[in-house]
Amino acid sequence: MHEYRQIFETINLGLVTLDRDLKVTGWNRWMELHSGISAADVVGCQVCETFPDLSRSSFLRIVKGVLSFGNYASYSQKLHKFLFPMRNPHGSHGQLPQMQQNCTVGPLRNEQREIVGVYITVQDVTDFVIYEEKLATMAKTDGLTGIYNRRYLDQRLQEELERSRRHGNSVSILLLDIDHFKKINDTYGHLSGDYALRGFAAELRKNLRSIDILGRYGGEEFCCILPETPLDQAHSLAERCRAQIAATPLCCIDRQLTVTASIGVAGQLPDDTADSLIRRADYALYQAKHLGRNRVCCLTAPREMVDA
Amino acid sequence: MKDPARELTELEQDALQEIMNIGFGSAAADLAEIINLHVILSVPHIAVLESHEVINFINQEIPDTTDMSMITQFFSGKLNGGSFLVFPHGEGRKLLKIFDGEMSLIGDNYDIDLLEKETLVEIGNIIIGACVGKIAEMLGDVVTYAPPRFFGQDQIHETLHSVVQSSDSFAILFKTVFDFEQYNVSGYLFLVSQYSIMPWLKQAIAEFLGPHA
Repeated sequence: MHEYRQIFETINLGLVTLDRDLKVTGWNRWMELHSGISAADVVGCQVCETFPDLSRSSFLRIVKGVLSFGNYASYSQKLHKFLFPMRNPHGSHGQLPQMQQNCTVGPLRNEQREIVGVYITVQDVTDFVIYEEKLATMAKTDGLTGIYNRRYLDQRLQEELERSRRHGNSVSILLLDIDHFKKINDTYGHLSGDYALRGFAAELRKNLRSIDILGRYGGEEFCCILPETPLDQAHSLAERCRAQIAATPLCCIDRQLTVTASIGVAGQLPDDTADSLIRRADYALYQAKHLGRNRVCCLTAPREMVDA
Repeated sequence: MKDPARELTELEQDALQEIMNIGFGSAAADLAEIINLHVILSVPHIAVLESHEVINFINQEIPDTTDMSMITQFFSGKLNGGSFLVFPHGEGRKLLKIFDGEMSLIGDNYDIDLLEKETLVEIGNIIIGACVGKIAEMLGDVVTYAPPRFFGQDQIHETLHSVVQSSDSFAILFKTVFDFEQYNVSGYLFLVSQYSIMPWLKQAIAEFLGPHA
């Protein structure tokens, strides 16, 4: 037993035991360290009095279940964030003030095999949560420009179209292309090109609303999903972006470059799929290029499309 | 050739049925009383089957697992085996209502499939605990549980196959349909045990029957 005691005290896991009245009977060093409450102060106290947050019904449900059925229960970070409110002990404290926890609860039985209490294990999963968030952000971000990537755009367009079918608010999209972008790369080098892309994305974002979803569609082509926006509003938004881009020089390393953009606008039609909507915007963009660039073209009905 | 030691007699089968009825009834009553979870558990179906028959049986009951979610939990004691709680995929979402009022903690940037999974694990293991615990109790046994595991869609068949096939060639199967009244959610609970528990099970049934037998 002496060895078990050593494990209990030194394991890198919070261990708590409660009796049937939810009074604390055990509180290991890990718990002392992270809660700032010593075993001497907490043993014998009702756990819900020391931690009022624990009177949440989800925790009581689990403990009552374990006390009655003797099952092995889990209390997951995904659903509950944490059980015992404790400070995040890692460098990520600024980002996530509370330690994120995966907890399990199981029965403690006496010699007669009656359930006399429960044990709780507390695992610190803050690091995993931070990694997970980082990965989730990376998976939807374009590395160079910091706006959304193609993958995320495709997914959101699908979702927005479904949402609009349910609620009847139409979605519009803009497809934007930087005019003569190849020249920037060829004249000033690819690094300048990268700066131009970054500056262009930043400038666009300034002119969009927070609900608009801006992403890099590929190369020097960008796409913006405008939820709950009819075509005429999308058109004026596009025009504002175009004018602003043409009027604002972008910082590219040691020089300022002014670029212009061609923009194709398309609004959702009743039977639109993501593909058909994009195809119309793409066609409008093609027209804008064809008519001399630095302009916005708008396409409403599919019949306006002629084979290019 | 039938080996009587590998079979339950009609009387034993009836007794086991009775034990399950009482056990599930009291499990449902406890779930309602203790954690306010109202579950209707149907009269369980009991069968002693060979492993390939178990798979066939489950295939028949749930022909298409491509859209199912499953919680498994293994238990050990004199009664030992695995429990499989199977829900249609998406049903678990309705159970999220159980956490009403606490969902604010989660924020809006969550993945609904993930929450469904966690909810099923959390709620599923209480149901399994109540059902298995009661049956064990009535048979004079106490069981301990391994942590619950979640399997989605295409992982289900593979998991069932590997479990049933690795256990020794015979299985005692219990199936019940359960219904969460408040949430309009229903699913199946299967308990699969091994042939090796048969001697103990026969004896425990005899003790349950006591002087009546």
